[in-house]
Amino acid sequence: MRRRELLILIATAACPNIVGAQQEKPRRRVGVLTGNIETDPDAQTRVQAFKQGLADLGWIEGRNLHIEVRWPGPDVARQQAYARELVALAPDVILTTSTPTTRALRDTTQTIPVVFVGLSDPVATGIVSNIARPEVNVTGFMLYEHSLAGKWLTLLKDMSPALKRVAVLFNPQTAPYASFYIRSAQEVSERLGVSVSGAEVSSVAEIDLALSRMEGSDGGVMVLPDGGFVAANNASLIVLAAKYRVPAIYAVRVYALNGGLMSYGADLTSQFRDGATYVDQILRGVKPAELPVRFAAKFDLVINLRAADALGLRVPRHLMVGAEMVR
Amino acid sequence: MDPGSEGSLPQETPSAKTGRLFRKYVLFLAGVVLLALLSSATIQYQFLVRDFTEFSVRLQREQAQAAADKIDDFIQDIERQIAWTAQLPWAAATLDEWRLDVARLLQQVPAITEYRRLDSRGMEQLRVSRLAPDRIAGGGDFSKDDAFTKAMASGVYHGPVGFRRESEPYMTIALRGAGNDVSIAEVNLKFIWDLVSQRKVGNRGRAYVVSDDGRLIAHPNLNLVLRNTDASQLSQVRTARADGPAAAPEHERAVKDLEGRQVLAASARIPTLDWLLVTELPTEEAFAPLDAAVRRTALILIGALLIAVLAGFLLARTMVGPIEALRIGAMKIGAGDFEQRIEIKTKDEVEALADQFNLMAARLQESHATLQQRVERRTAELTSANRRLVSAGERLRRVNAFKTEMLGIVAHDLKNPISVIITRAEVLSKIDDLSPSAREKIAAQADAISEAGRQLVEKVDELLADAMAEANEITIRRAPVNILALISEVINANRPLTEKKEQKLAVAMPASLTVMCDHDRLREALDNLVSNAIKYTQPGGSINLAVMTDEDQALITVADNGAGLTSDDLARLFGRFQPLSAKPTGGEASTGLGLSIVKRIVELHGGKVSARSAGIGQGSRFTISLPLLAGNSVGQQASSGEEEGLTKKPNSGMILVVDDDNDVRKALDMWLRLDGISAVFAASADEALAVVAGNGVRPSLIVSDYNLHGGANGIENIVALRKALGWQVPAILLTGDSTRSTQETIVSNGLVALIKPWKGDELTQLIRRLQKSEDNIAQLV
Repeated sequence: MRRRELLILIATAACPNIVGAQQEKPRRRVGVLTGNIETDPDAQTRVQAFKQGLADLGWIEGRNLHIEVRWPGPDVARQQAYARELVALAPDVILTTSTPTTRALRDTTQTIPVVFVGLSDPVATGIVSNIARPEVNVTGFMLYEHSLAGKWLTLLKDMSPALKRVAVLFNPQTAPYASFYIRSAQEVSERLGVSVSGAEVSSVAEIDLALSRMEGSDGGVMVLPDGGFVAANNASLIVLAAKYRVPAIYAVRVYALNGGLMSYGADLTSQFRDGATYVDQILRGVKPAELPVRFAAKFDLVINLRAADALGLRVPRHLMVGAEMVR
Repeated sequence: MDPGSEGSLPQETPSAKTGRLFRKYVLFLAGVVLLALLSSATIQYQFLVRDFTEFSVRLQREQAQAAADKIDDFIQDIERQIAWTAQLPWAAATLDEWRLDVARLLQQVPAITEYRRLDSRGMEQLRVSRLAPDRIAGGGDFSKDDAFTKAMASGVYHGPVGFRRESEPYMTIALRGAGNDVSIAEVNLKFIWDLVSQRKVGNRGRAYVVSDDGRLIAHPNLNLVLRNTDASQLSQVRTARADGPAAAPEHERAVKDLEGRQVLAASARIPTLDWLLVTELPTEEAFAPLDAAVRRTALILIGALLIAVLAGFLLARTMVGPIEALRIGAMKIGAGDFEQRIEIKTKDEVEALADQFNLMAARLQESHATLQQRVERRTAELTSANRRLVSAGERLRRVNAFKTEMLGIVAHDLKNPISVIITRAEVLSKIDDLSPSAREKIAAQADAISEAGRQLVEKVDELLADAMAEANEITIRRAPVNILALISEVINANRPLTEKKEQKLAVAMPASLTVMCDHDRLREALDNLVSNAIKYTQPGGSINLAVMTDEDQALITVADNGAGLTSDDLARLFGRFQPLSAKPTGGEASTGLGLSIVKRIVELHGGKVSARSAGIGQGSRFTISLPLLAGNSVGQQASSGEEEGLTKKPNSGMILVVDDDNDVRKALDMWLRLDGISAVFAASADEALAVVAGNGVRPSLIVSDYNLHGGANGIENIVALRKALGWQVPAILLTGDSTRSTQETIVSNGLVALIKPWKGDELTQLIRRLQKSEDNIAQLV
């Protein structure tokens, strides 16, 4: 009898290690709702940067993370449909890349955390009420501030000293914040001797028309950042700007790389990596309301020398110093 | 006093006691090992905790220092770059050259968001911003600005940390340039935030930065920073500040963090800004490897404990095993198993002890064997003597019965014709029609005949008286008798007769009944009644036997539906030579003595016999009632002399045993002890007298051997002892002599003899019986 009890004691003493063996945690799920079309290689690159950022923080897709990406493109109705689809999957957190997609999600869920990147002034567009404490399930990183419009205007004037009239190109559907930029540009326009006007475009034909109106040495355009529409049409835009010999400044560097005259703006791709840090924190249990909305800090000027030559413009030295020159 | 009680006590508890010893050994060993291991583990744990704390804090301090160095480098680099731009006095260059320089600065230092140049009066000359349009001359008067006044005063100015648009940390750095003009840069501190939030301190530890006034500048939880949290009250911050810039921060120990968790903290200074970089690691995590060590130690502890218990178990078994074997061996020897030997091969004191035990057992076995042999031999002698005696007795009884029967028959059959002869002789003498001479002659002859006849009657009566005397001489010897078995015997003996007369013989009796009585005599009585019933019942009749108990007596009834008895019969039924009015139905003979013998036997047992009948031809019923109480001895026994002196009571229940054989004395001692009888022993008659006279022992009973040492005689010895004691002490004589003369002497002295070889329990039973009744029963056993 004693001996048997002894054996049981030995057995139970050895057991806890076996019982306490660790169980594998279930995979976490992250949704991505872009404003781009799937065939956009730049958008693909940015999403890849986001995944890489997560991987650097220990979230490996296929091991402890599942990522669901949706590409509705600029169509608002499709964006809303995809938003509902993603919410139905109940992911742990969703990344958005444009104001309309962020809105679509914010209208669909008040519980699933949403992290946005590359947005313009989310307070002005009503996405968050407070920058330091968003106090909703939505937070993220904004790329552009309205004051940049003034910066864009001075840069375009520095590049093209003859500049007298500037059209601000935007699609009212995908860039609901356009008026703020236009106002910001108009604040400095008088000092620079330039008149600024808005030009709503929602088709290639309308782009054609808007650019044709700016033809001449005193004309120029500012293309506002938006969540996909312009990007979808950037090829036509650059070609048409060249056709009408209109100096143009863009918010995103890819335009300058693809033949646009110049671009000034924050690095969107790096902001996707920033977004990964917020997604990581939310996956680790931080509430989105505790994460302040952050701003881009690094801005790049890109000048396409071939485009400048074609327009007969000389790049001033102080722009050359800080700019990335491309051909 | 009961000598058995002493011996029985230690037999009940030994296994419990050895179990206790076993437990003691195991517990002691396990306890010692556990104590040693626990104390060593505790001491080791203390050292481990100290070492771990030291190690963890040293590691953290290095991390903190590295981070602090990076921040310091970051700030110094910015200052160097600004200083380089500021070298050129404002007036010395054109606006274009200035814009170029500033563009270069912004290109070099991404953290600078805005650059402003104030002249020596505090007027803004140029502003270049990454976010806003450039501004040339006309920015206004900044001479009252802290940045301007402090930079002018001390050459360099570090502004407080503020938040642009609520969430971006900024700091103003201002430098006085060569031409007493001031360069002011808005520096984005995102770099510090990123550095701090990405700094890995263990798994859940973190780094944060505290400004010179104790405010939180950078923390992985940005909310704490944005809420302007005051960290100056944290003890790790307070002590680090108090140590001063020169002292190495040696404040590390377990402290609380901003959220109140227990952490190990370390810190390093950022000298340029007089900020403090603090790292914290939750104590739990820091000591996690220690917990694993503790768990390992616990496992080792359990393992060692098990081994200790096992060792204790084995050791205890080695030590306790032989003791247990010794105990069991001794117990068996004590219980009488003298062949028992204790096998212990431990080559130590225990083995020596076992050897002693074995030696003792061997001695015991030897003497026991001698005793056994004698007992066996004498038992055999007794058995054969008994057998001879029984057969002789049986023969005698048969012969005697035959003689008695013959006498009865002869007397009975003679008396009738004789009385006829006498009567006829008297009739003859009274014949009156004869001549007087003839009558005289006849009368003389008739008188002679009558006289002879009367003499003959007298002779016959004498003969009958002899037979009577024989019949009266009945003695009984009581013993527990199973009445039912006895009745079976009687029935079996009479079965042939009933079968012959085709009579039904039925018995009704209880499951068991034992009565103190003389088996043979009672059988004789019952046999008489049953054979009478058979005799006086017609062929085909029925006879019923019934046994019942009635409070204190056993009732045995023999009933038949035979000839029955007249009231005249009932009155003289149990008298001697009283033939009944009815005649045996099968022509059997009858002495007329049977029922008187029945009556005599039953009365000797203290019982009664009675008869009932409704009349001639109505059958009859005989009932024997016997007292049930075992100790009851109403029956008058042969002889006893106890009336002479029962005045002096014995002073103890002790008995006195006199025997000159040492072995017999030992054997008797053993037997008596077993039965709880205490006894005093004497080896000779003289010694016995000395015991009684000198020691004042007053035994309740004397047991004496017949042949005592020195030619003394057991009977004389008992008589002398009785005289010395002054009363007729009950006594048992042990004798191998079964000759008639000796037996007669024994009986005549009122003694009980036990003939060798006797059995121990016969002796003890006899002793008990004598002690109880204080009767001496002169019986041969």
